[in-house]
Amino acid sequence: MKFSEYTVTGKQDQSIDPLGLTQPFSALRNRLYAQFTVLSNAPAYHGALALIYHVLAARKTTPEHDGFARRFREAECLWGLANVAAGQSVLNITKYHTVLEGRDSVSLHDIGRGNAIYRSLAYGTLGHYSNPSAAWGFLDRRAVRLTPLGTRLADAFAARGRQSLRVAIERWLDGHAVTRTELEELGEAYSIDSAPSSAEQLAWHDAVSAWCARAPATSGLWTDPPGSSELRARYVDADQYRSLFPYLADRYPRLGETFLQAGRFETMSAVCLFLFEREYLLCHDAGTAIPAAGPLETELTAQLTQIAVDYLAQDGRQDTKKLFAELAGARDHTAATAIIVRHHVAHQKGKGALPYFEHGELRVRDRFDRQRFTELHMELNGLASAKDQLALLTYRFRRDWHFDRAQRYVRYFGGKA
Amino acid sequence: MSAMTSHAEFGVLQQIFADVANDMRRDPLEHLLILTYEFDDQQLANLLAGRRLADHVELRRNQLKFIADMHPVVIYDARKTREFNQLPHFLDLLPVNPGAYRCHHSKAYLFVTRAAVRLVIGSFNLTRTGLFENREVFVDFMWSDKENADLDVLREFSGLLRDGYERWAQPAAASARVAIADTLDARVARWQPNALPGKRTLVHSGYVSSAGQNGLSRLTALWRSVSSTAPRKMLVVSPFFDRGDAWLADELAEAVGVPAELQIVTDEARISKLGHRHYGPQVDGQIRKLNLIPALIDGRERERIARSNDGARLDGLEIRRDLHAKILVLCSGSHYLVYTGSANFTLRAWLGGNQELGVAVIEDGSADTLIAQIIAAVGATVDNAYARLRDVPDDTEAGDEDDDYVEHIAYPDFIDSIVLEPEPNGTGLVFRFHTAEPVRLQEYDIAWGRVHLTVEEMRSIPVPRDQAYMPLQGGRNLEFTPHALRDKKYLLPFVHDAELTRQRDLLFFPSAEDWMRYYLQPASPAGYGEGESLPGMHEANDEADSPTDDRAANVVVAMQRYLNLFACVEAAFHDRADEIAAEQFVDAAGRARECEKRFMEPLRVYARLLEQEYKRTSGPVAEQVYLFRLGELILLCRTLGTMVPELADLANEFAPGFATPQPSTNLATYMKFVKERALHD
Repeated sequence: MKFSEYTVTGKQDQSIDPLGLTQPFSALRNRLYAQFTVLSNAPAYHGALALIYHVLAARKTTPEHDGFARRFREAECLWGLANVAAGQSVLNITKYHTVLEGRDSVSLHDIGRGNAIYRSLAYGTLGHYSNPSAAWGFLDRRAVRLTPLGTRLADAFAARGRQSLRVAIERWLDGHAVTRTELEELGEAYSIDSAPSSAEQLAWHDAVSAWCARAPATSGLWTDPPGSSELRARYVDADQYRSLFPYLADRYPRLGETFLQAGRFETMSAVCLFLFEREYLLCHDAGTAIPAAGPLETELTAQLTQIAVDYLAQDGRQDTKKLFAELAGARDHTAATAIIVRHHVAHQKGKGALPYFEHGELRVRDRFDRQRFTELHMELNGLASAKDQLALLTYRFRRDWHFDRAQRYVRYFGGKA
Repeated sequence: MSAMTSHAEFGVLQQIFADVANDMRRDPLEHLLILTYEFDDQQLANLLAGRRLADHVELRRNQLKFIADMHPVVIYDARKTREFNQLPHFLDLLPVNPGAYRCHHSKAYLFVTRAAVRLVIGSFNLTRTGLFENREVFVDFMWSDKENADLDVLREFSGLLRDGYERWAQPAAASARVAIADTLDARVARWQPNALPGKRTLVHSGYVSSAGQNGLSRLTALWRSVSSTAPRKMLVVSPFFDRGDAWLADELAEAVGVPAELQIVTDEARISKLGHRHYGPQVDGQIRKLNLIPALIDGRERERIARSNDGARLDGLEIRRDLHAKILVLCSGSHYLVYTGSANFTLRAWLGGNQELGVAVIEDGSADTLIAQIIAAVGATVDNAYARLRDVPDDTEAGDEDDDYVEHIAYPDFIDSIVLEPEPNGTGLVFRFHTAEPVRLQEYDIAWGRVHLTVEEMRSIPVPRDQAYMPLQGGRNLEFTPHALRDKKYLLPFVHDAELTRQRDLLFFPSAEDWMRYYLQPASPAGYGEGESLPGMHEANDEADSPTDDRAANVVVAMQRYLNLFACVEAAFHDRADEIAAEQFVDAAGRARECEKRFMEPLRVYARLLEQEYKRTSGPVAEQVYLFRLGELILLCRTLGTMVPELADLANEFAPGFATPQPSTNLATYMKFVKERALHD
């Protein structure tokens, strides 16, 4: 008999991308921070990953060999158990808890080949951090081998505590049991929240320096990162948020155009999503509950067209099936919404998914919340100017540009945050 | 069964489903069957596509094709039919309509993979609250060549599937359900010789119409195998209890005797629905206890939830957990019986016409530890709140019971089934209604989405395919509006007939190129989440402004691209031929079925797609392109025929289309080459 556990299901709607904006957004964001994914939150994982690659390579196991992911998980188990023993949260924490429950000591043999910890090999350090590690230069481009820098990180990470984590992992892979006390000690030194050693920080500094040499335009983001208080202040409300990208463009002149482009992209995508949501709800509720298009829509469309023109005038623009290019030439609100809807249908069919609606006919129900939309509509109508309306829309549809994540990394390696 | 669980562990339900999906490449899923009271579109769509159940994502074409090939079956309560706008076609939705004051309340999830069978039986519906929020309980079975205890549970389940649903059988949909039962029986037969004895037994209710065959009688018989006297102690965990003036506890006391101690665990919020009478006849000396689950979870549980969600931050998150688990423990002192399943502590569940399903296990020793674990697991307090109860509940109004019956006036329950099929001798689609009262169909406006249906002689006037909700998601129901009650709308799902099912690939693939891309990168749900990747794994990139788009407009470039793709398809089918040559089959018929499925069906569809594309175009170039593509297909079939004997005649099937009255010199040379090389009289 098993009891169900409560599952936190927030943050799930990011995958819905009815207008195909995720790809151009990611491309733009990668010009700022190419080293991150939405999952690579804690830098300590890079150290653990490098160390496990190193240990396994010495045993002639690399990603080119069958069973690498499985072998990686076997090694990762020790680090995961150490984190859990020290009361730290780590990916797959529940499964580690289950392994540890009621045991004074544990060995790889105790876990058993069929244990749940081996079932989702992409969910863990390897799956979440191998690509980011390659971007940082700790692994080669194919994420197959450690680079010299990665080897340094592995060595530094392994020697944080009194007990070498490398030795512990090797003994673990050889089948030796580890006691709970030993795990706690390892966890104290090597957990994801434990302080890095100076040698690790040095390796990170070198990684950042190498990154800055490869992508000099972004070096300022690491040598003089945006201050947390300045960022926090700009995320307070829509009025403050509108100054974010101009502030960043001003602070980092070499990325000035990129930040302005990012700001324009965010605003354009916000207006497109708003107009699309409106068209969808009109179709969904057969026009009964959504206010007719009025000055707000007309003004938003005019602004959208102008921003699209400015956006397209910049080099390195990112588009999605020429959506913004077409919007730049839209005559009016009717034309713009027709472009957006046509684009949606093409995008959905292109990826083999169902359009939410087509030819005025609803195909997928309940994609958007009418009440939330109506409230936003009213809020927008209550604002004094089109610029304020754009600011509010942009703020509501803002995206994660990795600023917080970068700050965590900078703090970790002892940079100025 | 592998004894996968001991007592009172916690499990994240979606992990079970993720495990199956993660293992899909090594051990492909062959059948999926769900029994539930109700379900949410998104959760079912995620489950079918091997996605994480909490995801909010869209199904892609490859996933739809994967689902259609698997042909899953979902059996649920008819009155819980919703619009199902996110559900794909070629998935059998089988509503069960057991009649007034009854419902289909069983909850079971069956996964049949090539190597194993996994069955989860419990209290949870396939809904968001059931999967992620409620306090639910379940038992998880797995059988394979290595794990074969409790095989009787699988045998009984197969019988239930085959016979228990016969009353609601829909002829057009029976094949998938029966095919699953056939597979289960074949597996049982294979594993039986080495099977270990098990302790678990299925306890079901409402499936057998003969008198006395209900859940209570089954439970009683099991109890009698343990003890001839009344239980010393009984624990009841249930969110819902009898309303009215008849009580399950009375019947239970009659059947197994009055327990010396009766302890009930339920939500504090439902205390008004519970009274002394729910404890059965008052007997001197009987100990009665009530443990309540507070509305708010405590700090310890919040910590546990945070941990089990990989350290998710719960700040500001209001966590509401309603009890939905149903457990019954009967103790003799030396043995105890534990029931876990769908049945609430109500007469309707144990004696009524509800379809209910659970698992009973008999263990040696004292149940005290187990009971303490259960109480802790559901978050109940240890204080006895029995004194707070009145004699009878003061709230007997209909509430939010999960099996509550709501009468729907003019509900079209005279319809046995609806089948969608291709128009005979036409290109449209037709709905065929199965009912003993066809005249009553005229009492309703019937619509398929916005397409109004005109029904004559139990068949709809054909719907043109370009107006149809095919082949992707949505449009899984017909809407019935009674003429006499215009404000009422009832939904009934339909199933697809065998011929339409056979034609499904023509609907899934808009072009031959789409077909090729599918067979080069078939849907094999791997359970990867957003942002996850393993070294060497390449994510499909489905959306980009590609500079090659313009080049593809050039016919030479397009043909080159086609040839490159087709070369990859040839390699993929050669691999398939190698695979099937290496596989062991029980008999020749099994091998022939696999040949049909893996080669003949897809390649015939491909030939049809080529023909359709040709018919949409015109001119000598189009004809040359078509014949060239068909010729390459014939050559491929010829090669496959040399590798797999069952395919020896496949190339000849396409010969009739490989002809033209006036071929150019080059084309004639090519056609001669193909005919000499690959076709024979």
